[in-house]
Amino acid sequence: MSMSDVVDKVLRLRDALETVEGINNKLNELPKLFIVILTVTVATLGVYDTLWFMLGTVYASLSFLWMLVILGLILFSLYYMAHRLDKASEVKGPYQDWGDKLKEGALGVLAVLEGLDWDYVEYRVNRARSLYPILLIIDEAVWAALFYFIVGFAYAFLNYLLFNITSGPLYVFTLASLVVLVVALTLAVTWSELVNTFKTLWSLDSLLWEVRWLYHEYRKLQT
Amino acid sequence: MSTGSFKPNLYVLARIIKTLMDNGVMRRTNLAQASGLSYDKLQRYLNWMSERGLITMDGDGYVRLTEEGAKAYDELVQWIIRYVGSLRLSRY
Repeated sequence: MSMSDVVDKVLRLRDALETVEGINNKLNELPKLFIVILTVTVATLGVYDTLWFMLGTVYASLSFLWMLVILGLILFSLYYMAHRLDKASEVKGPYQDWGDKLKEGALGVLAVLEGLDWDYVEYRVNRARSLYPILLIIDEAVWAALFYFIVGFAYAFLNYLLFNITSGPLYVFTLASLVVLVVALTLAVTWSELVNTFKTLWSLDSLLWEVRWLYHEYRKLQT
Repeated sequence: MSTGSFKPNLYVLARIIKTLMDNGVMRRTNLAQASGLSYDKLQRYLNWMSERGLITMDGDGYVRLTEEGAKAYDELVQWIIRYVGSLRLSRY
């Protein structure tokens, strides 16, 4: 193995650690996102209740507009979450100067290893590995909510126009079919992401062991 | 002066040795400049290295790398190739 292969390995380590930083930043962003979305939702529903209280039955004729408002709320939440999470994952962390350092070859590799905060790296990798499934669950839940809204709306519309099923075994069956359809659509859309998530989790697990092992060996070299 | 509690930074150590390998015998002031270290810091490293036989220093301020010093650098490079090179990392 030549030094350029080693440099390539260190650059891959950098990419892995930047992925870890991205995951951690996304996780940090989640509480802020929930607060913003919750605030907007509560404020919108507050306006709805106030208008309902003030205008009463007159306002009831505008209920169709409220469907648009609720749709807007869902779309806003989705867009806002996707936008903020993308932004959060773009922050690369403290590894951006590795490329320049590694131009020095063996000296650069030593500079990188000496400059690495091993405890911080282990903590971040461990955190990303443990909490990464939360991102997947949120992603699945958001898609399921969107599909439930669309499919439910289409079903209610068709039911109102054509079938008029309001009770009985057929009603239960159609509702169960609705849920199955929503789950199937969600899985169809997110399948590749689901597979990637499990691959990433597997990679993070092995990365943690590799970092621990290298740190152990490096400590031995230092002494 | 004893350097018993001094823990050298391996990168700085390797940089000093590499500078000496590239330039041969050097004055301490020139070595400090070439390796980008303050004179005091370089002196601490040189004392540590001298105690371990990696360099020799004469009374005129000249520093010479010993065979042990060159061997230490090679061992560092071999360690990097052996351990860092065997990291198993997925593509991200």
